[in-house]
Amino acid sequence: MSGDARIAAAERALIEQGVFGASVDVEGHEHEIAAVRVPPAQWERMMGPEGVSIAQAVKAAGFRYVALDLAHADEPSSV
Amino acid sequence: MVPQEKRDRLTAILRECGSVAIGYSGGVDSVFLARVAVEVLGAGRVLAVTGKSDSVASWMEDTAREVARDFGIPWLEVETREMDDPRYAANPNNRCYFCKSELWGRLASVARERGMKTVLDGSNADDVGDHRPGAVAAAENAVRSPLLEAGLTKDEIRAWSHELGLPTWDQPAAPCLASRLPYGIAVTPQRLKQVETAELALRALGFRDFRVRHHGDVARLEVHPGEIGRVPGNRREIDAAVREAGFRRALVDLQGYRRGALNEGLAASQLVQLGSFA
Repeated sequence: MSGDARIAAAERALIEQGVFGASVDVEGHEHEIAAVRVPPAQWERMMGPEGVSIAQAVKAAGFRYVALDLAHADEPSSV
Repeated sequence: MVPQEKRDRLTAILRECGSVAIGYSGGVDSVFLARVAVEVLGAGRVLAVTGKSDSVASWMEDTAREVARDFGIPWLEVETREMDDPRYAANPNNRCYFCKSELWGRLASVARERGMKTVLDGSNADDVGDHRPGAVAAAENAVRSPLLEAGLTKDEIRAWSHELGLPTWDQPAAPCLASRLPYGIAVTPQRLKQVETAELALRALGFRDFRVRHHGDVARLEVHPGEIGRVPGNRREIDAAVREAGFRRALVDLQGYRRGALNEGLAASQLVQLGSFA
């Protein structure tokens, strides 16, 4: 498994879905979660019906789960 | 609407059982079953038994107690010790088998002591096809599933519960707290308490159908699609509550709550489905 390769692929998938300014890191005891941070303006969209298709696109990069970090991008990282 | 044929079938099955000890969690199905059993057999032939352990949320225990009191259901609480079993605590993908072996073993003893002929569970027709290793333990202990045998679906049980005035009729499904831990992450009282604390905080914020999944020091929240739109407006409160519960980071799953999400990593050969054994 190459975590870096999955991260880059996931971030590309987000851009292809029209989600800009996002970053991805990996969480979970099996490194199975793509933890996504997006600017606050993207929140409503990510939590709406579109979120499911966005998640499917990111999962294709090799993740089991795709989840949004509840901390805002303008706050100190919790990572 | 519940077909009369299914109502009659359930009544006939309960009469056939004679007297019953029911695994009674305080959830929709077991509460309904206990209430109907009292109606059909009379309170003297029914005992609802709740297993008390760290893996049971305190609000479920409260519901079990209150409904039993309000609806005249004879009720007993017994302590279960699944946490003492290292095979359970290691959290393999058949963890439920070890928990249910403990539970049904205790209920079988209670039933014998009290002269109850049959032990019952609340499995229903919609449970067929789920990953349910605990059902193997039920079969080993001769536990019957009248709701399943009568072909009652979850929606029908909810509708009938509503008719009976049961407060649980629209209660979201509420499996044990250990179901929030991915297989391979050890089940400990501390982790279960973290999950319960975070979930209680979300309930206090008005969320009803969700799960806090425990991924080590990270919480991954699955919120029902009908409620996930409320997350952005409550972001700070949720984040604070989850961290207060001892997690380093709070994440919200973009796909929302779906039943059995932690089984998504299992291969088909690892699944134990109701009706696929015996």
